[in-house]
Amino acid sequence: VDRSLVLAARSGDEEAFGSLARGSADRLFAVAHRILRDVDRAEDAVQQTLVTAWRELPGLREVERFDAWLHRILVHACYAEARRARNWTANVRVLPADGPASRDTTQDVVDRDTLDRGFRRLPPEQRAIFVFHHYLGLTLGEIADTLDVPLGTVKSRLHYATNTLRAALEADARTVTPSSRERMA
Amino acid sequence: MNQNADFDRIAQSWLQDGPTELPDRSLQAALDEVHMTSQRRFGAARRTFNMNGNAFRLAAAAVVALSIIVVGGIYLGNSQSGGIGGQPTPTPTPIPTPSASLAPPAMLKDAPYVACSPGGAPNCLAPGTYRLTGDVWPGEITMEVPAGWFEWQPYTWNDAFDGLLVDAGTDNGSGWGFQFIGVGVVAKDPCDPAKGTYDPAETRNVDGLVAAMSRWPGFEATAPTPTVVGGYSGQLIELTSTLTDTDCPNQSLWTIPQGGVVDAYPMVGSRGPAARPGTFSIIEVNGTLLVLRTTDFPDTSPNELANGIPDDPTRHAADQVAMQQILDSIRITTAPAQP
Repeated sequence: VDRSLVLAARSGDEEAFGSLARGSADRLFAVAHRILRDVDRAEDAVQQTLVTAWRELPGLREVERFDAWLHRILVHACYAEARRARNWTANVRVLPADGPASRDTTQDVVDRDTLDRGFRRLPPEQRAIFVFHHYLGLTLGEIADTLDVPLGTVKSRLHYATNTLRAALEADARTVTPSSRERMA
Repeated sequence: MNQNADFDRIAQSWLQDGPTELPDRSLQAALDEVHMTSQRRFGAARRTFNMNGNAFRLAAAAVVALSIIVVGGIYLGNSQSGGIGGQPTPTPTPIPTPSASLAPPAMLKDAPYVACSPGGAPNCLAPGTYRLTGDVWPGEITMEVPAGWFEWQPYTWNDAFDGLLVDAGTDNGSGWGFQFIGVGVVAKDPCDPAKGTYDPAETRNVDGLVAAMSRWPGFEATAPTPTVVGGYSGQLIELTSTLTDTDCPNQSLWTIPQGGVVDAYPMVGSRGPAARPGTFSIIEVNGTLLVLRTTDFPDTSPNELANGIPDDPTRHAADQVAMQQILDSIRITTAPAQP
């Protein structure tokens, strides 16, 4: 992050904050969407994050940690969005025909759909850890530091999220008949 | 799909799939809102966001340590044997309420963290006396924590499913320790949700929950024996199973009051047949059930085995002693009755 932009924005320079926002918005949206699994809510979470960041920016002491600070605000905005909704959306996601995975076999499509359904059942705190680890590639220590939660909490939430999703995949695999398994192989 | 690498590949591939660009109109709406929003100014004594949580915890440790020196003596002075396997006491022993002038022990969720070993990362709770309390607990639980343990809190509702694990130096927890668990709706079969749940009226007391657990298909339960936790009498049962997580993928013993699921660990081992006994101490405090689940065995835990740690029949022998000391230190106090 451009330290001078953060310093200027912290001092009230709206234009500098606009530059920071434009540089971060897509990444924030991608993370929010992966946590919330909903475009509208992800947009709302990012908007709330940017407004909160602007309002609270004078209190940010370590300007070089602006990105991590922004991520923490985003996660709390996602929690708020998740709790504001009475229910998680249960609509079935339409899978793209030409997804980015190089090994986009039928089984992969089934796995992704299973993951999507399983993920929607996770509490938002477990979702956030899972996304930070598997999407942003942060280590557990980095996640603990970014979100300011104990490492043990990060471990436990990732553990439960992973076990839940893995169990969903394995249960799904067992429901596939031998003949259909052969067709997918 | 049995390998960690396979799961990671599938998960990462799945997460890559999805939108990555915030629509311009949405960004502009946020910037318009920013334009109408004043920054918070803090003046000379402004509040700062200290991103270094570990440094904060270390600093807080000094404050808490001072509190522990003052308050710990009171709680230590009230220590009595009463953990799992201890002799039952006929009536709960009331714990004196600390003077209002003394700070209570820190909440577990706010505990400072220190290095588990010299020079290591601050991943373990600073030794001291901590408490758990919240809306659903039937009281306040206070315990003395030695070095080498950390909080295991799967849900953010930390007041209904919270415990301690011994540090194993792995990224995925040791899977060895204890948890306090609230009780919501109990499954008739932890491995088959289609069989439904018990009427809560049947499982809302110690005997009812023990009976339900003893009937779970695929699990062997010992005969219940009297136990005491934190001064409250109850029943202890140990459950074993030969099921694997392949047989029992959707493990759910019961839900906690807020809806989170309690899994069948360690009876149904984590990814493999390396199951261990699960020990459950069930007490009733002011009409509310409270379960203490422990991994009271010396062997390498199923979670550790799943993470490649070799099987060792004495790996947790010393931890058993430490855990018993923690359990013996547990005190449960309840709010005074309303006049």
